[in-house]
Amino acid sequence: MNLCRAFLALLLVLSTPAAAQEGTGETAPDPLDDFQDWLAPRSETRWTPTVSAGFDALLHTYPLATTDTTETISESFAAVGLEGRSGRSGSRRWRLLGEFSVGSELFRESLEAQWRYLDRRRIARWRLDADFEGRQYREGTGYSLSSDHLEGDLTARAVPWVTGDHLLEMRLDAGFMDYSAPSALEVSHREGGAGLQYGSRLLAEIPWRVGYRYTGRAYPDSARIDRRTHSMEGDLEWRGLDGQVLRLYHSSRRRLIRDEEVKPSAWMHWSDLSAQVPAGTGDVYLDLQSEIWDYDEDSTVYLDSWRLDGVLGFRWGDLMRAGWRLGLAAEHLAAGDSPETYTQLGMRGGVESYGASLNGSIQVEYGRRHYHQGGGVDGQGGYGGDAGFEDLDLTYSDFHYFEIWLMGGWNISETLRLDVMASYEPESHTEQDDDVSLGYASLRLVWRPSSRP
Amino acid sequence: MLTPSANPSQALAGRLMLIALAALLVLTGIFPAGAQAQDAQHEQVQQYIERNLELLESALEIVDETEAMPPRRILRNARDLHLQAVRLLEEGRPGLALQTARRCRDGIRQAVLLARESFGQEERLRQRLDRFHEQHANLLDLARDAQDQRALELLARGRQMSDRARDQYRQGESRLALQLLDQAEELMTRAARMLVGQKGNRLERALELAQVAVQQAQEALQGSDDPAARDLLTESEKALERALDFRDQGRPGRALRMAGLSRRLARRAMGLQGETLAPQGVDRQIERWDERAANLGETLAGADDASRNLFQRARDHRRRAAEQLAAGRTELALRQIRAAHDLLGQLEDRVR
Repeated sequence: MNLCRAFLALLLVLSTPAAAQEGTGETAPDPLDDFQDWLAPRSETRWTPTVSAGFDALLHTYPLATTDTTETISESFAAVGLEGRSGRSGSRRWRLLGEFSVGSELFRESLEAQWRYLDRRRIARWRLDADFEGRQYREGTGYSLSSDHLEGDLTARAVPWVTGDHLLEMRLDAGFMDYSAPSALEVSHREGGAGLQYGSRLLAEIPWRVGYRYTGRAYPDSARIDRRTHSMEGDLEWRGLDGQVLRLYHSSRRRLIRDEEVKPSAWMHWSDLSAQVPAGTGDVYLDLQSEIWDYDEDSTVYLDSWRLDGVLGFRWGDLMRAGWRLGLAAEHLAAGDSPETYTQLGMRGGVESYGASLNGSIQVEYGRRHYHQGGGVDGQGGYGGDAGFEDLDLTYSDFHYFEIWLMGGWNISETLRLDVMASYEPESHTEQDDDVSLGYASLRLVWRPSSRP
Repeated sequence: MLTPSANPSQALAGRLMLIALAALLVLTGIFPAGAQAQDAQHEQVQQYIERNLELLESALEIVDETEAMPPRRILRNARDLHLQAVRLLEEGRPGLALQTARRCRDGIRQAVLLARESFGQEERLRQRLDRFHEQHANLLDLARDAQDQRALELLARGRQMSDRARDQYRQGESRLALQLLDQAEELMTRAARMLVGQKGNRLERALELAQVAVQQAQEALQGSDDPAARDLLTESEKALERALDFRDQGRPGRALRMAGLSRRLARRAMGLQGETLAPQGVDRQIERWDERAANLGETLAGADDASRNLFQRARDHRRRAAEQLAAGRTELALRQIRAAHDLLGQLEDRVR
């Protein structure tokens, strides 16, 4: 109740200067106006405070032994933040962002810090990034897992070799996660790693890079699940003269688990393809994603699988006024004999606008998922691979789905902004008992005064 | 012939006796049959319930492998139903016990299905959260460099969503987390598209500025016979042509750098035009440098090594300017003192 009052009071306080400024007819600055500023870098250190208040709600409806259960978590909160950064003319640059929020469910803190050393060609030869994040749950919180925790990551990068438009980057990573009251689902860990990357500079004609990275993670309270990961990845972007764009990304990871009986080691291959071709008054676009899991020992729990999903569509209009999109979305999961193998097909459409004072987007998708119920399903409807479950019908039911997503932002004044985000995803299954709904809503009022040197 | 026992009333009584006997026989016969049926039903329900216990144990093994909460909740509920069914059977209510046991089995099925589904989701979530973090950091750098407020806002909101997704993942709500992460990725994709567009706009704007600078320099140098300024203007024009060529060849990075060079050369050409290039002019600039350096004196005392190196380099240029001026090479002296002023400017930015 006190928090609600505080929230209302904050709204009142924040809206007063906003109302005073509304009459000036000022609108949010056009980012292109900053171009001159970009050409003539500022040298001053800048600090920007932020104050925000908001409300988040999460909803998850699913069957609980034939009875629908709706789990909801709603949380009101108030947050303060401070962002500082060095001027953009020196060779040593830094950035610091600290945030603290008080919510009806928990307290959140985060600290991000970055330091870079740039050479005369503005290449970051040295770079340090540190992120820390903490969560403390209130007594009686609605969250199921409520162990307070602190997480941190530190990454150091160095560019020892630059030639023409290409550079070699080396990195070292360290991280930790500490739970105050560890449990089976709240396991503390330590992490360390190193990597190497070679590729073009950011503004190259065809930006590309390839890299290798090693990560080791140790769980002090559960050493059996310690893991090591080797990953190779690469990406490339090509832009044609007539507005064609092609982006490729691929990553192959080898994950090794200390005790293979607990969890098998596995290969994971992830690929992204994104393409755009101008057509008439707009663009035809294609986004594809492929994900392959290949376990050393395939089991009913850890299944070898290949998931391919993508969207092919057409977008037109002006993003600054109204940009439209319409496309066909498809997804296929191939998981051998498992009943989890499915194919999904849907239509996706939406409109978005990023004007100076108002911006937002609405996206809707409607479709159907069909489970193939492959050869593994035995005569009793159970999955043959599931020893011990012969008399259970372990098959998934087909369903129609809706995905509705809304995002909006209103620059009430130069310093005050209202953000709204909401989504709702109901599934209507052929077996009514399997119906599921997911929802999320968030409302945030953000006050961000002008940055001060 | 009728006997005395053949009296109708006696016969009726006899019939009644027979009926009563038959009824007694029937009743005594039926009662054991009903008891047997009830025993059989009790046994069937008991077997069903015992099987539920086995299924619960197997399901628990699978659910324990996941980090998901919904299957845990469902299984916990199924266990409660199981205990309830056992109690009902003990109380001699097999019908109700069976009904409850069936609800328990539905719960076990749901828990196993959700648990198996969540394996893939958890693995995918971990990978996607890592990848989001990397991509977000790269785009944030790009957006900050480009000073694109809209992209920065989208990225900030994407980060908020991914933070919520991470919270939900840690709560074992992988499905909800995936939904939130989907949206965070969507916001990031939009920011990336905006930045790609901005890259194009940035180039066009840079070319425009270079063209304006070249035109201004051409106007300023009309009728001028200063060879150094004319050379710089020619170089500036050439750089602009090359920038346009690079743009037409689809090489935006080089085009952007060349446009910047063209603009700087044009400005320098105009700067030279405004100066007399007389030795006195260069001398004045050297004096001005000395004044600026003197103002920095106290600040430099506490400066770091890099700042002192910068000052050293600036001082070397100033010394060479003086030497070139003394040798009568005014133009070279001017270049040296300009470099010295530039370095001093950088130094002031650092120590300020």
